[in-house]
Amino acid sequence: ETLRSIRAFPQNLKQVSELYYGFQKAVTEATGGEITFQDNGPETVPPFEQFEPLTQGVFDIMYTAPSYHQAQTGIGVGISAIPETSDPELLTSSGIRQWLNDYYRENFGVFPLAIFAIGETTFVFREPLTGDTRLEGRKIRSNASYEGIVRALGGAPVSMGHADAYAALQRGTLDGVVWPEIATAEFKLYEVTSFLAKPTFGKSHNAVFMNAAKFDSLPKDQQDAIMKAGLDLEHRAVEFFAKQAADETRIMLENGVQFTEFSPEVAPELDKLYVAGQREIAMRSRPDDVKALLELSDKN
Amino acid sequence: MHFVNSALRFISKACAILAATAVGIAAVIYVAEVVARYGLNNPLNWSGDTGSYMLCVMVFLSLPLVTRQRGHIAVTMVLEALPQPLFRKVTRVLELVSATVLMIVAAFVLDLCIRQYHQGVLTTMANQIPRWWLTAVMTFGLVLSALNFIAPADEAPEDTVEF
Amino acid sequence: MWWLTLLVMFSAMLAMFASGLPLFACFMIRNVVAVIYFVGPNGLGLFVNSMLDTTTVEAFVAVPMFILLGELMFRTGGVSLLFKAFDTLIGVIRGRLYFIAVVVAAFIGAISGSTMASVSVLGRFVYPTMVERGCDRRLAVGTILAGATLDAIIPPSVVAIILATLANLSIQKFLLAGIGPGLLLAGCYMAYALVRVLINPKLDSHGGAAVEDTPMDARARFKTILPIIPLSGIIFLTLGLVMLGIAQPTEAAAVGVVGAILMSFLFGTFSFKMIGQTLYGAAITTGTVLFIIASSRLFTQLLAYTGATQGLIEFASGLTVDPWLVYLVMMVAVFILCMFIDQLAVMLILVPVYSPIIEQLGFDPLWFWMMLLINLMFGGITPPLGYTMFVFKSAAPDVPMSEIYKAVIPMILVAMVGVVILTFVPEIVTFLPSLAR
Ligand code: NA
Ligand code: NA
Repeated sequence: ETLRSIRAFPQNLKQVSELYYGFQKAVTEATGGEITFQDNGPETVPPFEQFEPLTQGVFDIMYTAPSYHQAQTGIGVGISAIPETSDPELLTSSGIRQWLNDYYRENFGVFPLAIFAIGETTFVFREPLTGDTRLEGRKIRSNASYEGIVRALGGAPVSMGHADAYAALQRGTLDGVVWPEIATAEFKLYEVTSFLAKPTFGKSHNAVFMNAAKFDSLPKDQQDAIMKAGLDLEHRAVEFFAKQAADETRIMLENGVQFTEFSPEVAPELDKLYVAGQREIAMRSRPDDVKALLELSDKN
Repeated sequence: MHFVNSALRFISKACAILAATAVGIAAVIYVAEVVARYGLNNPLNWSGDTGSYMLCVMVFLSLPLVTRQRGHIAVTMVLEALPQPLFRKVTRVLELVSATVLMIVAAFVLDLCIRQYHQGVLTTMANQIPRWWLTAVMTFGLVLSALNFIAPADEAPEDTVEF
Repeated sequence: MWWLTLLVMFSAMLAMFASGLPLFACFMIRNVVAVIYFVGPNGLGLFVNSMLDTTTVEAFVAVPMFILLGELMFRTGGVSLLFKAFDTLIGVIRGRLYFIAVVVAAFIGAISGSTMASVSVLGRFVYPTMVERGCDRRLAVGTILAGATLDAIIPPSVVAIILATLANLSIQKFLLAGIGPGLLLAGCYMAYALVRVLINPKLDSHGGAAVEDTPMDARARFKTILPIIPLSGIIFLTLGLVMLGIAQPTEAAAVGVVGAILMSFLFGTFSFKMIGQTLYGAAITTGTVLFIIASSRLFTQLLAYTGATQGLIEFASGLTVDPWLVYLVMMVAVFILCMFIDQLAVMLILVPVYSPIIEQLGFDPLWFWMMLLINLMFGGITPPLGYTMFVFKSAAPDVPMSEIYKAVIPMILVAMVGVVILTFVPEIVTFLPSLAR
């Protein structure tokens, strides 16, 4: 059987070549070559449009950031607003894994094989933090997920893509960016910025989803092999992204970037502001479902 | 029949006026963005998304009138070499084929539109609206265009397509 | 078997185009059939989503904005006055009317975003004067048609915006990339006219007399030149905003629109009716063009899905021939296709196929796509099918089609010289965009 796979990230990212392809390889090996993958990337379907064809069975399996399907359900963002999704054991023991499984199956005919944190977020600036270390009118590249925190810290959020951000930093129309910690050096931010803010905050997530009908049509031993590869992926991801974050920060520092710190009063606020922002965005789409997830998480 | 045709013409023109309004709205919003960003140092952050939505309105609401005036671009070299009676017959066939294609595509769009309505799917921009609003506009424009292909053509205005 | 897929699709497309079916319908049929064949009926949602995506791409909002800007400038600025203005500015030299025609064409190119608008204005206002003033008919038609093609190369340009979006280029840089080649080609056309007039003085039998028979005083001269000032102001405002990166091209165009409206007050031509008509025209044109693009767009994704994109990349990387030969073949293909098919259609069927190849061959994308754009614009004046020629014919009905065909051939050869220069001196294309912030 060949599973039609779609991924939201380009092939050259390490999280694809090492983690996701590793998952595919594990499945193929565990099933004695019975299951193989036909690989498609964002050039086949744009990242934000991949969820729908997965539910329709156009694709069988999807490697994505769950927030990319926020337009279909706020749960995609809600995943990053609760702590359980960052720890494979806690995800199971809290009952959240089961809840997510049931939720996605019932509503969309898909379910998550693996959910894992990819690391935290950081501010990167052209100028160091000063004064009471808020953003004080700085123009910060952000996206919908970070608009809340940028505004709350007194900055002016500017929404633009990653590629445009580099150019805007270079010409000075941006003062900084909110950026995933695992991709700062990868985008050569050290060429256009000088300060990496401490502390980092707020976890983001990736996930592998599968079409439920396809999964159910497979023999039991193949299903088990896929589920096991999914759990293994979650465990491997923890180490992988920890190393990735350390590497990226090291390369930034090696290229002359320095740390700049939020004050002790502001620092603890970052996480809270981030989570509040995520919750607000999550509630825009299917709010009742999101409320149910958040309540379940708060009970833990 | 005459009444239906007149109604169709009236609705198509009204849609084109809405499309023209969308162009105007987009222009005003983009100027406002520049003023807000450089004049007030406080970017709006919704001009781009609104422009995108207006673009969709422009395209699908101008379509019925373009069709009514047979303003679609086609390679008509072979067609024009045909003798008059045959030319008219073939043109009619092509119009009916186009109408059929539009109807079929409209059915796909409507199918997705209904699904999006039931699932409450939003757009993927930062400033979100229900996605079925857009697919509904699409469906409407496509169906109206298909009907206009079946209806007799209107006189094209002086300035047709300039590209 | 990706190449067989491509070949079948390509032939089917050409056959459908030839039938006279509207382009959008050809593309829709191709994509629906291809989705069902390769992905299955469940994949039809992909087609709908690609249509919706295309018609909500923010970059494409630049299309109606630039059309609006051009139309407003045409309607308010009195472009017919431009000819007189340049007639006053350019002194008495041999072949001056040909020069004026090219300069006016280039200037209109910097105002308007579409070749069609430009050629119809030139055909209605400039051509009759040229013939009246003793220009050779064939050379006059040639310079006007060649001059009109500059419109899509010199920014603002609707085709450039579309091509940049399809090929994933920065619109800002691609627009700026057109300035150098536009000026170079204008120079080539003028040089050609000069050579022809020097060899055969009869081609300019009035020997460069001004339009006005009575000599003007300074005051009258200034009054004639006046319209150039606000028009140039708006051109520099729009381009300057783009060049300095102060505004996105779309925003810059919108600011230019405000400038054009202010100018209409200055010229006393403002009316709500005029504004309404321009908005209406912009909407209709945008709808016509973007609907075709929306209908065609899924194909790029299908090429990726079927493995054809990967196949093309491997094909290009496995080529042992000189990349310049591949370049030549790709350009000749555009040229030949443009003789028979609409330029927009040529662009839409070739961009998805060319993109992976040129990336593999390592050509500068900005330069490559600019060369392709220039080539596409010649498509409008290559016989037998060429909209630029058809529009000219309707603006100047007394010129027989055969005469137009004869007039364009030397101009195309001249343009080829320009293309060769651009091939060997790519900096003419890439210098300005490299300065942009
Ligand atoms: Na132009
Ligand atoms: Na041609």
